[in-house]
Amino acid sequence: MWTYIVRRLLQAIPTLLIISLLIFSLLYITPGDPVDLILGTEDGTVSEEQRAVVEEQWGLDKPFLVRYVDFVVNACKGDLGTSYATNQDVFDSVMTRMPATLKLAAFSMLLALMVSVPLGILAALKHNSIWDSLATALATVGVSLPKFWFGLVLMIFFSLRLGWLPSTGSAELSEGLGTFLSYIIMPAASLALGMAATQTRMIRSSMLDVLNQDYVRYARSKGLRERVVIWGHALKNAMIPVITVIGGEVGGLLGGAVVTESIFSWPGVGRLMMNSISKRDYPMIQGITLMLCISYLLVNLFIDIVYAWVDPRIRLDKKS
Amino acid sequence: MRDKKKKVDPVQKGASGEIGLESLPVTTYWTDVVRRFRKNKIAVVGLVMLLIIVILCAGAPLFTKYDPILDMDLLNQLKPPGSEGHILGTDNLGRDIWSRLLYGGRTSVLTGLTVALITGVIGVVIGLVSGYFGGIVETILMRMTDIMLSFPFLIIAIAIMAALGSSQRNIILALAIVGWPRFARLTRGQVLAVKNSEYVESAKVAGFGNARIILNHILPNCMGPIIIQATLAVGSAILSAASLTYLGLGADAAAPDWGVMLSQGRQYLQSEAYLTIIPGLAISVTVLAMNWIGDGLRDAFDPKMRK
Repeated sequence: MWTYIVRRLLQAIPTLLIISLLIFSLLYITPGDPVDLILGTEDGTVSEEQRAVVEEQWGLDKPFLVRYVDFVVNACKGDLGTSYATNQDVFDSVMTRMPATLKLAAFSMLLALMVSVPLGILAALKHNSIWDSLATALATVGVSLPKFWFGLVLMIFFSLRLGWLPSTGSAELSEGLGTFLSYIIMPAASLALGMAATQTRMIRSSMLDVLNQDYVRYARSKGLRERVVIWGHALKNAMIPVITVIGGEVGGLLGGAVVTESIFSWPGVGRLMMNSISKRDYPMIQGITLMLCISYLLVNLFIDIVYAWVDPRIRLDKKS
Repeated sequence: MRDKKKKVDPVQKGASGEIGLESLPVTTYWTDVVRRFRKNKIAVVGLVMLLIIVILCAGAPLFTKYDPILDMDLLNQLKPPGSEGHILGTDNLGRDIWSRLLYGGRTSVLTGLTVALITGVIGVVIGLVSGYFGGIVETILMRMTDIMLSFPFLIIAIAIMAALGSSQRNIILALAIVGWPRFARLTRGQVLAVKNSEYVESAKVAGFGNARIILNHILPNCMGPIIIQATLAVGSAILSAASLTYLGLGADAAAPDWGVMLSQGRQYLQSEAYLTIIPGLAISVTVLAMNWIGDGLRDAFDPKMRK
């Protein structure tokens, strides 16, 4: 187990190096003078002396490769540079925002599962019935709606028309469960929509496979109650392929969070990213992208471990 | 397409001897696919919906008398749907929403198609080459593919947009950069499945070149899943492009574009919700049509998969 985790973490290193190189070079070739961005000055108004000072201070006078290596070495020490716009430490800024994003992501995942598990099971149990068609149709509609638009529509109805929910902002759990839920439910629902749809389809087809297997037939013929057969025997195995799908969806969740957070003014990493883009704060954009990629890799590692734990047939130690 | 109906029972007719051999319709894999697709009601509905959308958008000038950018009716700003002369109302500059919707569809649908085409071609070529030749080429190409797949693609696309700057062309570029790995992975899997089949072996024995074997013998047998993936890629590219544009990373604010319309509607959520609801519905209906077609194709290509 531990050797597996270590190996996976080692495997992630070249991946991260390549993605950091990609982002670093992209932002390097970007038009626009970093000195102007740092000083907030207009193009061409900075004196030569001033420019030299700033460039030396920020290491902008060094060649590309040196800057990249510096960036990587510093990143390993947890230093992702300093924001052009606010002069704050990038790593600290991202880390203060990260919990909000992860909370939103986790809650959306929970919400998606709360919808998709019952719906997927229902569709599989009532295979080829009206319920099945309805669940499948809902799932197709769910993946077709733009998530952020669904969020806007929720906001129009539940905040602006009915006035039931606050349209933007966030609350901590310590402020009371009701308050917490009233803020998180709409952004989470808009993120959960697509996931719930994909999961429903996945659970349905996976459940159909499992229900046709001998051990389920045996459990039934043994006279076990249907509820025990479904929840005790079938569901456990049906969920195994679903877990891998969830891993992939975390990526969409983090990407979607950028849009959703902007809509609902959720104080997470996504909104920080959009603010940084509008200010062309490249160290910040770079840092956020890297941190989100690392989170995604870690979540997927975690899911693979869970996968092996749920399904003992999968051996982590062997090369997959 | 129309004459396929005759092909339903060729064996019966042939057996009864009424029809000569030359008029016996040939049932190929592809005619079978078309037949199964046409039997799928939802898929056909999707196709019809898509055709209507394409006709409306491509022939936009025929269906509206307003220019989507220049015709600003400053006396009739923010008129609700159903207003006189403006069936879907007007926006904050008095521009006709119906006409912006039609012209905007051009951008959205074309973006979706272009992205699917570019990612498809790049991905399929990489998949074919790595699957067919194997060895070090495969290792390098697939390692790249895996790396690209192991990142949240929208985040990378946003980062690319931040660097390249906002424009419709850059949206296509960004989505192409993040989109090809799915096709590469899929195609390689397909190639591996057919690479050792007898018809490929015999083509090799016959002395055909690699290019000919890949293009004439392997590719046609991998097309099913690739076409399905391409259909779904159009829909997902339309959705991603709308997200990027909504964030202000796409076409400029004057352009008629569904994403632009959505982001302009943001200011008027309270009183003019239709500015937000209408373009979103247009996106949803288009993507839904693509997904229905994709699902229908999946069943048509692989009837065994159907549950």
